[in-house]
Amino acid sequence: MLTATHLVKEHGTHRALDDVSFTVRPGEIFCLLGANGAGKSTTIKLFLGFLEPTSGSAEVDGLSAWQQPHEVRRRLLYIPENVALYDELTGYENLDYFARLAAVEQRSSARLKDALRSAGLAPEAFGRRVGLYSKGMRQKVGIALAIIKEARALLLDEPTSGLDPTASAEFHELIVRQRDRGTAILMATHDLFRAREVATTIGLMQAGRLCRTLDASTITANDLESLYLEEMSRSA
Amino acid sequence: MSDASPTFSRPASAVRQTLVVAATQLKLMWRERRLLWLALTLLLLAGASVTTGAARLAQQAQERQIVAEQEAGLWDSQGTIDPHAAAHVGRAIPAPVRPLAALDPGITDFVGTSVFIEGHAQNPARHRPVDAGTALSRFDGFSAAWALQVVAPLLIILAGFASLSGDVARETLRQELGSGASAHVLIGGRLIALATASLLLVLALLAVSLPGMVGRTLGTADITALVAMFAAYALYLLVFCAITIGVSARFSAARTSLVVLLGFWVVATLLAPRVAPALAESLYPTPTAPAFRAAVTEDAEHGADGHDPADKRLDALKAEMLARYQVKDVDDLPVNFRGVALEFAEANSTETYNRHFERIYATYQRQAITQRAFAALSPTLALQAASRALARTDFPAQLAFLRGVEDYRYRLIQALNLEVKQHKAANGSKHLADIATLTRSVAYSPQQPPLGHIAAAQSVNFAILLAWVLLALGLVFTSARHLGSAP
Amino acid sequence: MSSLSIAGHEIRRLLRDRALPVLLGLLVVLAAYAAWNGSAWVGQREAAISLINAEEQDARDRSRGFVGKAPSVLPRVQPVLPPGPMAALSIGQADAYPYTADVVALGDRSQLLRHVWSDIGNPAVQAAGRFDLAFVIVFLLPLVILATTFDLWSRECERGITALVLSQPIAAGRLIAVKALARGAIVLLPALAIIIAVAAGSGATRPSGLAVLALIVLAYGSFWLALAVLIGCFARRTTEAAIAAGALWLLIVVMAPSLVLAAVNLMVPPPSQMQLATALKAQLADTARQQQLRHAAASPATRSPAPRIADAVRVAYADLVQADQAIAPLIAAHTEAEDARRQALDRARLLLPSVAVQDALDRLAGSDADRALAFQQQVLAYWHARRQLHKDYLDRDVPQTLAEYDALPRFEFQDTAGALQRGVLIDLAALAVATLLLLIAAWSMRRRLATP
Repeated sequence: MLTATHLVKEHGTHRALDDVSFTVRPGEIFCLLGANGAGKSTTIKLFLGFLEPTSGSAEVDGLSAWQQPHEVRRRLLYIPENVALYDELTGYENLDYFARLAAVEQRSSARLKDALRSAGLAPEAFGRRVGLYSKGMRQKVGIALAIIKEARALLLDEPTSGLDPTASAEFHELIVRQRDRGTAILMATHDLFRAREVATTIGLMQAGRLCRTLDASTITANDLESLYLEEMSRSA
Repeated sequence: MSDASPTFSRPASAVRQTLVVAATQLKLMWRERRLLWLALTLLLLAGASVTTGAARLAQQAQERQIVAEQEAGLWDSQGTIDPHAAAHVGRAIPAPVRPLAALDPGITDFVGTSVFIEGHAQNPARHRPVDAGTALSRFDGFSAAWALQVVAPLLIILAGFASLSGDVARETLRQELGSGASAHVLIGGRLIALATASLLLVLALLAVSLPGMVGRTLGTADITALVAMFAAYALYLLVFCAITIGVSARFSAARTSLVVLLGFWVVATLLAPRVAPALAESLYPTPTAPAFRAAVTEDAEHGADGHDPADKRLDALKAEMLARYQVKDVDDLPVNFRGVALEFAEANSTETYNRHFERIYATYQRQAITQRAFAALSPTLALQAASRALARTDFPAQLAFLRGVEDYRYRLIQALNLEVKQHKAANGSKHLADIATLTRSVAYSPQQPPLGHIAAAQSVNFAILLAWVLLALGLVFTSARHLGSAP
Repeated sequence: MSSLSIAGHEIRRLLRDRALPVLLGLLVVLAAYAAWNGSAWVGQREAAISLINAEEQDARDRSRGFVGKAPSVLPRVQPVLPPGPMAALSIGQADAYPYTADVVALGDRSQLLRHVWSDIGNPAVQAAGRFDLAFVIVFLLPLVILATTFDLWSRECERGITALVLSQPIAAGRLIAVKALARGAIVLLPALAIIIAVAAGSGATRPSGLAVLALIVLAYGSFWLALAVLIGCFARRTTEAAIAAGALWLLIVVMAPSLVLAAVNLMVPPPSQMQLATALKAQLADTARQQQLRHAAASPATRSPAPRIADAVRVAYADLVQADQAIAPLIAAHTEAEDARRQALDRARLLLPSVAVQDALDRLAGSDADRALAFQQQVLAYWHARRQLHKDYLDRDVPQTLAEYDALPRFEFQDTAGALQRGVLIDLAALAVATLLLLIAAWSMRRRLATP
């Protein structure tokens, strides 16, 4: 469970986050929608314990991300916009390495390969160097890590930017599957339509504030778009 | 979801994780072919330099052996002559060849390779290898020692500057941190990988150089010295590994890291080793050769304080001897006064020369200590001094040779003078003696200072290297903490 | 887009880079220190020379009293090789050759340089390498130039700007040439000004010398610019370009010369000075022994009327000449071997741009091997002339007069080579050829440039 309580982050005089509060329960997908610079990445970094909140708290399963970063990071998985893997290692080797860092105990070869398969990576690619992977393939390695880590929460930062429609659809299928297994997912994106499709809750962020929180099942795509534009122009 | 998931057992020990990181980094370095090729090229060149150096040393040793034998032959074949004439004929004593000079030639090319000993004078060493060269002779810097002191740190910097700085590296680091590993593990692992790679480089260099040096017999002292040199170089490269990782962790832009590290490298390995000796010399200058000779001559003629000219002292000696033996004339003395005068003159001039030379050597020592102060800016200075000392190619090693030769010279000349003193000849003629039999008992037995002495003398330099290691590790530690909280 | 606007644009961008003033500032500091070092060395050398001159004058004054009592009084002369007018520029080979000699008319040839001590300065300081202006030019100037020009192509390639630029109607070759020239001008011209100013400040003020210095620096700078262009053709990423620049600097300035030197030492090894000294001693001892036996066996012929200068003096002189003839072949063989080695070293410098520049600077400063050897030749000639004087006195059988003593010629070194001597021209030609080769290589790769 991911809980943000009156989260505030200031960089000097600039307020990157202004009193943000929300909860993501297990089996839910919370999409943060907003333009560049709205504070989505900052929110994710606060949950990872990479930044110290000026006030308020970011908690994972009741543990403060800033005070107990190791505990927190053991429970979640972070997939950034560009999944950074080692180009000279193969997909399999990368997964093995990151699994070891994540202190995953059962790392048998079969299990690793299973995870890669479940993530949708073609078996021929396991032994190929990541330097030759497409962006979609890199993301699948990221998902495989989440599978093998049995992460209880997923933090995704602009996951579908730069992916072609097929890869984007594949990706959403994967995270829906994760959601169904009880993972709490926080996804920062500006893909309005996909967000509406997979999200349980949608949060509209602008200038560090969570302007609106919407139930995804009760809104149509068109309404979402007009609401989004309205919020953006209001705060501009 | 239950809290006790089977995959979340006890966290892997930090040490094991660090080793995992190190192993992966080493694997990456191995697959990064470019740097591997550079390292191999360096090994090849350094190995070639050691092999050719060793061949040159072998040839030099042979040449010196021949010259020593020829000189001995010439000395012994002088036959029966006035012993003092032999003092003017003189003899050349070649310097010993240092086997480890193939690795670190030190100053061997800039010091004389033989000393000409004769009566009434103390000559500096002559026939330096750098004599009679051209512009190209100034470029004789590349040796295995130089490769490890200057080029290996550059390779380390190129291999490691982007390990933690730059967009790609930072992103990967963030992901690794997000996986649950601590910053200390990630950075420590990279440091261990870089240090292991440099250690392998030094070992490979050693392996590549040994066959070239095996031709000459290396005694246990030499092998111990080699091990000590290896330890010193390992410490030195560890300093650079730690500084590289520390700086890379500190700056997020790869360009900044590279500029800072290259700046440090230029100052520490290229500039400081050249500027420090020059500055030390301008602080404690040595006199020019003409000034030195003039001072010695003046001193010997007029006594140390100018009031006690040699003639007067000789006259006093004559008077004292006449009184002692209660005779009126020098011819009535039981000893040959010519011999007495020669003995006195030799003792006088030797003492004068020694005093002046020791002053110069003391100046060199003061210069060396001033240079060591610069090691605060550059670990290379401390390593260079230690490496040369262990290879016996620094000035104290040459000084040991010079002092040994001077001791032999004094004994030899005074043996000749003693012969003159003890034999009175008929009026007008001189006593003749066979030089070979006369001087057979006076032997030149060069003594090398034991390795323990050298190690003790270099303890300060080793301490400086250790201090650098601690400083560099401190940098890594603080950068790691900084990075862990704000990647 | 005209070349001038490209150049102007490039210059504007470079002027905004904060690295350039820092690099030039460092160059100022290091060049100033180097020049000060050089002039300090020259001062020391000149002080030593004035001491030697005083000694010589002393000996001359003292010997004056013997004129008339001996058939010929030829006092000991100590010729000196004065430092050239631009000597502060480069210490070069000035420490590797004797700058003074010991001319004793009635001594043998081996005495000329036997008791001449090379300087007793700390050998560790010499081993470290002299920090003179030549060092700054040969080793550090390329670093400054490379630091500002190595990424002239790769920086924009990385950002994708090159693709944009080349999609305009402009030739890639012209573009990179103009960029290189613009950057080169912005870094090389100030560097040149700094070097000239600092050289002039250290005492090397001859205008012709400074002009040649400027020529050398420009030629060397152009070589490194051409290299930067070549790097641009190969390296697409800035880190690659940085590594290439560093590796090339190490190779050209340090490793290649050192390897070539090692090769020359193996193929044309230096003759052993130690063995020559021993051989000479043996030969002279042998000759002396033979002469002694001959004199003991033969009784001296007495002439009548007895000459004014005793015949014993003539016999002694003849013995001297014979001894010299005995050792002449040994010395000649040694000199030939040394010359062969020097020739090999000189030829090798034409392949190595850094060595060619070092050589040119040495010749400009007058601290090259050729000048030192010319000094030795002149000393030899002077010594022969001295000998001849003695022989003249013997031949005319009249002892030397005071007037003749006062008129004895002194030694004055004749500088035969000017600032733009043959050696310097050869060095500049070698540099030009190397630069041309680089440009040809770069031109042959212009297609690679044109495809970003």
